[in-house]
Amino acid sequence: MSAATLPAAAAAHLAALERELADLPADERAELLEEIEASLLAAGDDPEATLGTPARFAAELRASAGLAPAPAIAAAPRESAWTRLKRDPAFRSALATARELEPIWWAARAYIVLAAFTVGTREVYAVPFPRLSGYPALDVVLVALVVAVSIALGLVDRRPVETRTGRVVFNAFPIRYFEPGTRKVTHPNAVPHGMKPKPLR
Amino acid sequence: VLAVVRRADGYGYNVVRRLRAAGLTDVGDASVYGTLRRLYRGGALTSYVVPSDEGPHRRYYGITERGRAQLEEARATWEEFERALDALLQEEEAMTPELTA
Repeated sequence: MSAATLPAAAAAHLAALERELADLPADERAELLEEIEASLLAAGDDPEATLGTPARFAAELRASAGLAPAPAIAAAPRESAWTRLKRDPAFRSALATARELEPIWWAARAYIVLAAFTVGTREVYAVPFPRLSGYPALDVVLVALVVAVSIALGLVDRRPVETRTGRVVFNAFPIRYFEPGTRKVTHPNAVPHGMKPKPLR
Repeated sequence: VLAVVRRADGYGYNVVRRLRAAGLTDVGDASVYGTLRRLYRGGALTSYVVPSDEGPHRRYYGITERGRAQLEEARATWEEFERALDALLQEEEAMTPELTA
């Protein structure tokens, strides 16, 4: 007789036992299950009432046979160091503070960009108003403009993740504009799916 | 299990029933199947398969010389334990006759 010819409840119990003993060598498992069929047939319609749950039966069988206990369910994949760090409350707090202080970085990077213009010149690079053009009034306007652009880019970067690309380090540059998915190119005739396009006049 | 199989070869569920018939009514099926497996692996039992018309093929177990020696050793341990316990209980009975009467 095989599991296929056992009463339904006994066959289900046997199948569950087979899963419980899945780590054993196939031939040993098959021999054990074949022996156990006799108990299942004798147990009638409710094998669990007589023999206990498959898990308990398998555990008792393993213990008396001197077999190793059932292996634990596959361990969850190891978290990366970055994921663990992101969960750390101290790190999260530091990150939140850094986020609050981000405008300082936005202003600072504006000055870094401006410094690039003075490299190789004899101009004195001074904060808050470096000498850039030789006209102090124009220098003030230039500094204000670059700082404003830097802050604007920083604010754009703070939008929800789904609506932005790029990273803080790069957001002083227009890289984001050229990244795929940042621009929506729509045909003038495009209409939502299922609707008839309106003919152009 | 060795004592049962020593009298006559038996298959798993047959050993379970014989143990229960001998008075060990609470013996678990899984314990017996597991014990048979362990004794077989340890060389205390031998096994052979007998085809059956009524149900699954039956794997019979018979005792080996090693199994007999193991059984004798277990019997000696048990008798020693039984003697010690008997002596202890008789001593207890002598000290408190009014309670055990």
